[in-house]
Amino acid sequence: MISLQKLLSKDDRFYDLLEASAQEARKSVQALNRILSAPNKTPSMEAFHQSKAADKEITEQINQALITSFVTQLDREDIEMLSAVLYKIPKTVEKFAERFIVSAAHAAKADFSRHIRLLEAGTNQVVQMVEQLRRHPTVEEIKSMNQNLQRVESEADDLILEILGDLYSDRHHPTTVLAMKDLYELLEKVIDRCRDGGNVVTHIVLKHS
Amino acid sequence: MEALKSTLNNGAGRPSLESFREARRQNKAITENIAELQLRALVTSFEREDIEAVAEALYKIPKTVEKFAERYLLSYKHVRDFDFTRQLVLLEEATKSVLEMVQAFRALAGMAEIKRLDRRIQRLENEADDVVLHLVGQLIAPEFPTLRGIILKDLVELNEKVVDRCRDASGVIARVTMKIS
Repeated sequence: MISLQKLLSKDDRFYDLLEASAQEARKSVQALNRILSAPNKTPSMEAFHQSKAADKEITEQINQALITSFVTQLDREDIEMLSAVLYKIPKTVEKFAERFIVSAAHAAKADFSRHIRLLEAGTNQVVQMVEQLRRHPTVEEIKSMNQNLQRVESEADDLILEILGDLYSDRHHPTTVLAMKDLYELLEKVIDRCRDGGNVVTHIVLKHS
Repeated sequence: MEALKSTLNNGAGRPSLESFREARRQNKAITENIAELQLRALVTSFEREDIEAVAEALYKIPKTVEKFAERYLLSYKHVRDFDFTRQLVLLEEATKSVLEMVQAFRALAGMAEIKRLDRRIQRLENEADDVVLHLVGQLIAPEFPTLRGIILKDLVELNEKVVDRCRDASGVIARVTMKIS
């Protein structure tokens, strides 16, 4: 006979993996923020590849566990959806880092300090929200956290508009505009991915309320 | 869509973002109301996640239109004399079709009608792809000013995305209809 303890410990495994995935996403953003703090130095791709590979490994473990285990508290498709969304964070960060290296000549003098703050706030909030899942938060609690994330995303939208205004002002060479627009849009996308993660957690909590 | 049409047809003065923001805010409020209602309502004809999926897909339409408008206004001096008419016609038809589809969905018009409307939106989306290809061809021509080309490419691609969002919403409604039929 399957004991309740055993069933719940299997759910714990999923919570552990989802939290590990969110942590990897945060790690990749921390590595990103290190290169954004010193854009004149050529960064190494190692930390980004590692984070993405680690998150991919976790996502595969989740998918494997979904096939072989019986989940009691969360729906399979929700676990799958959350793990896919979380994996997209380090994946987009890695894409940014690759483009950053090839656009180094254009990006060396850019000021990314506002992006750093938003990226940090976004990933910290995602990690907190994923950690809340196993504690079965109320809808109000999770909605309030999700609203913080929406605010970060909205600030990122305002920031990119301000930056595009400068890029389109005829003060920059068109190739700089092309390269920097691409970089800034990828940073915005990282924050969008965090917002997507928050939306999935909210959807799960709403479903089980 | 009405706000977009009036902005793109307004040759006289610099248009404002407020009407787009208002449309998107209203749509967001509706999406949130739907989410709240799902919490309180015990019985509905649809599953929670299907209602959520339809609401989210619909919300993305004004959100993308607003994004276009923000960027259009930002680069007004570079883009005001560009002709967006072909895209505008498709956008109008696509959003009108989505509205008809939502009305048919509510009236439980049945799979055949939903499929007919979905096919219409798919056709519009194909046309939008052709139009964007033609426009991008103009924008990347060697004689076209580079910065203007970069800005306009972004804008015509955003307009294409609005039609894509209409197609996505239509796809979600068709899937939900098929599920309950």
